[in-house]
Amino acid sequence: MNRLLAPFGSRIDRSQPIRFTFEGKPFKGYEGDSIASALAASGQWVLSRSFKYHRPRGILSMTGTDANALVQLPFEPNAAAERTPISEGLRVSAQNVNGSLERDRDAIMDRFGRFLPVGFYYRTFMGPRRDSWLKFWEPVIRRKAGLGVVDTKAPHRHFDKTHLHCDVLVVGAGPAGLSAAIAAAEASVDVVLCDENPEIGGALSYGRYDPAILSGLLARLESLPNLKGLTGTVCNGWYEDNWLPLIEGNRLHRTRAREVILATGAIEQPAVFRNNDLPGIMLGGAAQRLIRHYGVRPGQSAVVLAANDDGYRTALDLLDAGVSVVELIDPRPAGEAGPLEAELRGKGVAIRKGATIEAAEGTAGNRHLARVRIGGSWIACDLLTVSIGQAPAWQLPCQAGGKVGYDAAAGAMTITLPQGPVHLAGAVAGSDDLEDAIASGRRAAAAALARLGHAVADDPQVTAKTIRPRYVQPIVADPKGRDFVDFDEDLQVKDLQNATKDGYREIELVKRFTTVGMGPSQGRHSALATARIVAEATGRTVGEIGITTARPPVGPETLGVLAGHHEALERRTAPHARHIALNAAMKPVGAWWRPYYYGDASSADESVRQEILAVREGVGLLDVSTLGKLEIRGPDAGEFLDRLYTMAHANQPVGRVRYCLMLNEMGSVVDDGVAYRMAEDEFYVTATTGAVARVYADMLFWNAEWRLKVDVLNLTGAFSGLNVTGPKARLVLEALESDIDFSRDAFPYLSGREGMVAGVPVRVMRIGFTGELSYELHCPSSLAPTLWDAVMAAGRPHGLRPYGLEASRILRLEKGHILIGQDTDAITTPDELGFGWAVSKKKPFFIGKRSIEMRARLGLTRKLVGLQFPAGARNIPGESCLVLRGGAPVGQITSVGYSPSLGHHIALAYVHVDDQAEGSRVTVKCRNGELVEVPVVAHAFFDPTNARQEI
Amino acid sequence: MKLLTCPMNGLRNIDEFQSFGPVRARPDPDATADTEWSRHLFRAENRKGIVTEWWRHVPSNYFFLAERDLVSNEIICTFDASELRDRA
Amino acid sequence: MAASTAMRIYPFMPGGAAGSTKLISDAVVLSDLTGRPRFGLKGGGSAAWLAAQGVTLPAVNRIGDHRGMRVLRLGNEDILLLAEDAGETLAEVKAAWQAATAPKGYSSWREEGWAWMRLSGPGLAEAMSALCALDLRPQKFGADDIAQTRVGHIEAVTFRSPAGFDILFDVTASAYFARAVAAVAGHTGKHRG
Repeated sequence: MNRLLAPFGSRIDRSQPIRFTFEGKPFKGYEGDSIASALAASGQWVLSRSFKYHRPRGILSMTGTDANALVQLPFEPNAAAERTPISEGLRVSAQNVNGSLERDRDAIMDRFGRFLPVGFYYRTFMGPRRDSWLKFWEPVIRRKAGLGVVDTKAPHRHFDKTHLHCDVLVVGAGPAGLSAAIAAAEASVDVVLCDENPEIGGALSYGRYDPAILSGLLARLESLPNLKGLTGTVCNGWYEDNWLPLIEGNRLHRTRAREVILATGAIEQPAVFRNNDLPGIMLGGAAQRLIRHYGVRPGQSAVVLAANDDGYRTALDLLDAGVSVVELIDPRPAGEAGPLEAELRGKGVAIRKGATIEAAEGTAGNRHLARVRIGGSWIACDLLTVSIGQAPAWQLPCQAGGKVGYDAAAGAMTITLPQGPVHLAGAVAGSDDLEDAIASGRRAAAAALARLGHAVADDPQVTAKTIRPRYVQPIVADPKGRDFVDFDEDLQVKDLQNATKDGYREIELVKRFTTVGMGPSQGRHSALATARIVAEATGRTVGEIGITTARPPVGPETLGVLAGHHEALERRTAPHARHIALNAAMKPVGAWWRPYYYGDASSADESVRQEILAVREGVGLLDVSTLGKLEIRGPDAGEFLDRLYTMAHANQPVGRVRYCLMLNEMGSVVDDGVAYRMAEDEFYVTATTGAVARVYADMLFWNAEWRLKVDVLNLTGAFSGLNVTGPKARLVLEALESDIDFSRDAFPYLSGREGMVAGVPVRVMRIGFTGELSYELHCPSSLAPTLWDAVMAAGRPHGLRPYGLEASRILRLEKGHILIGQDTDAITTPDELGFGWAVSKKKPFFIGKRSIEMRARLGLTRKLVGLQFPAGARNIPGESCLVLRGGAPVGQITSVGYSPSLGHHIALAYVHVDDQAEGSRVTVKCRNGELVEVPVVAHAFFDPTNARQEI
Repeated sequence: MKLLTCPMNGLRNIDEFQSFGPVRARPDPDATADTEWSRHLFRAENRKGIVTEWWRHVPSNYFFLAERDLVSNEIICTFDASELRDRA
Repeated sequence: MAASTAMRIYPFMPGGAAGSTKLISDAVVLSDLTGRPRFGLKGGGSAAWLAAQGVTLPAVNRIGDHRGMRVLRLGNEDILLLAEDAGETLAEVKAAWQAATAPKGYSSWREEGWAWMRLSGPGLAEAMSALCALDLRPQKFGADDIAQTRVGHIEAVTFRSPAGFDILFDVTASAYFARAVAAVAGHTGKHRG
């Protein structure tokens, strides 16, 4: 066991042991352990095999951002072992392994590495045939490549989304973020401070600092009720106008901040040398995190590579954790000894200056670090900590418009942000010591507060410090390779050098050719080194090369977090419960639920047939409440409709109903309905169910331009509609208590009346889709169930039957009535529908007029006609089957169905304009490829003279 | 998500709005040749610079205008349609 | 249209379109006010007519008071009167409007087109944060402010009432809305942090 005693292990609870398995073997850890820390405590250092060469890999950073420590959980692939907590009975396995982690059959790939140069796939798997890649190579390679496995049967998890608003959002709760948040909150603005770690403090929680600093800051934080701390919360992107997703477990906080302070810290960079990827070689911060957060001793015998103070502090921490420090190697030239150096020497640690690690060697199969070479001689060790420099965490700043540069004098990558609502603080802004980071946080808070309109006093402590020059490791390719730049993608120095030799000189091209930075760490450990290699190889500066574009998300995110919980929108008509009580088969039509037919599924066809016959021979009742209903009111209402629709409405008499057809500017049919003039200044207009939202918006848009004196009201939900239709419809309505005279002469076809029916105020229109005598009753929705009941009761002696959508579809098809969107497409003109009668020739203007005139001059190419299949025809084409002429497509079937009234199948179809005449025979290609010949019918299939609707 | 200031409803997420495209001169349909009419229908200029667009605040069905920089996507100002005539 | 004597059935009543949907009453309480009296005018002449009746009209997206009714100004010519406990006063205004001659605006039929629901309970703030993207904290959204926005992914009008938030939305989506609120309430308070 590598477990240390308290106070080491701030995150773990030693009284709560937890058992779990890794690769089938039992392991023990404590509550608060991550998978990686618990395994490390038990001496299990290998966590995965590398992507290309299947080399053993272990802890590199303890930040959970690289592929080294991704593992498979039963229901989750690619889980970050360094961040995922263990739980009782958790089964963890390694990824990218052929066989087992310990004995990976693909480890042989490591020896054939020279046959796998970069661009290998692009160069190799081109043939022999054009589709070889798709059909053969890709499936083979996919099996070899990739990381975790998705379990499609994983149990559902609950995710949710919420919204968060604040004046100042601080991302990163390290010393800079903490001081920024406190300074902002002390000025009484609303502050949210988020950090991906389970505790507040950042480096103060694991670095070698006086604990009083953190406890002092925490005490101030806790005294500020307007400062909300969100730990365990990842800020995964910056979007326009300070919109940031904060992911707290399964919850997504969609956050809007007026000001944002990014204190995202810096990313420690690995050193480049042969075998720099062996388990046992880790960044200094990883060793410190293991010790302080988890109480895990990171090794027994360590060499420390240190080119900065953090490296020296790591060495002191290792000593405190009982690790024997063989030697500290500082590649910087000898100079004045600082207090940290003196302290180390005082503890007997040998320090070698001006030297570096030249190579490392592993135990059998490279399963762990065995020794490192320094100045030509080998030193045995099982731990090498690397502290040679860092890069600012550029992801969020760059998304917010930051530009990456390189300060050659300081040897540091820099980020500059334009003046605006996003500010940088701490290491991401270049601070490299604690005092400066804290001051930088206060500076950022002052800048944010000033923008929020708060008077900010000059703080003498907050002047920026000049940055000390940093060590820059020279990168030289090892002749034997395995000097990894990108651990995720197994890329070595020479791979990147070769890419530049192949002509890929720009960083974005190098990335795409070599895949550098495309792995889970997204360049966190490779971008800076890559820029330096490309700069060196192409004779340019690092600043000129830059880094590749950083886009959201910052880190991986679960699809569930993005989806959240989503309730499907459902709209119900007022008589909904009536339909359910009548055993209707309800179907969704967009968001609406409508009766498809009434009755059991077992007798669906018979129910539909009965419903159709009821309408043709008796009387039926259809809930048409989903229809769009609009009121156009005002002195210019008639003029307004004249401009919007093709027919004349300004001269439409009060009490009359007119068909209305709407075109777009291109002259294509977009909607239809009826307009009932209730008063000089009031029209009641219907629109199709699916189009009303758009029609309503378009009406408002046009009137924003026209400024006519009209008000448009969408009554779709406010009013409900019941269509009573069939030869006995009048008998039913006359049986109801009403002040309306429903007789043929008093209430002729295409007229409308207002009045009371069964105590319900109604607007009644004599219109209909079925071709039968029809009265459409519209009433306020709260009264619709009552009206439904009254009509049903009055209809009972006459055999009234409610009917559903399928019967309605057939009834209208028998009449050849079109459905906009089903029988029309994006280019349908009124002429193609034979709707010349519906287009006013007298009006000076309506939308689409100019275009249909122009299109008429181009000539008609197709026409919508009826097709009548012989009784007993076996092969009936489906909707959208092609109509052919001379082997070429000229149109398509738009609607098809079996007409029980006629005893055969009928269809609507676009045919060549020369085939529109009655009796022409057209060829249709059925779904099975067979061609059938069908005669054209130029009129309604049923009741061609339209006598029935006017009785 | 971008923000847009509705002259009637104030600052809102842009997903509360629907764009109705740039304000365009509407040629006299009776005095325009077919080719010009086709250009009017199908050709969008999309030149660099500042464009005035129609927007609809969907929950309130309020239509207004916005000036937007097509290069930076910055919304420079928003105003009620009555001001368009004042400016013209 | 003449006044009706027939039975009105609102969605959450027995036999209503959402009659089988249970309204949650836990840390978050959803109650239905759809049947309560209200009356709205919209279109040219609406504001002038109401002003002539002595109604002091608030600014757009603000709420005023008139004889115990809340006066919601949803647009220059779009005004809604809510009479939760002032049905008689509302009936008087409505009767006066019906008897009046034009110009007097037009009915906006909000009492038919919009459901009127109230969200309250100890989990209110958390639930509203999940349902609505706006900053509705008291310091940002006052007692007489109106937000025309989205609540539970659908277009809605929301404002404060002494008990919580009132929400007006498409009446045909009543069952959906009750389910959406219940789903959000299921998440509130149960999440760490």
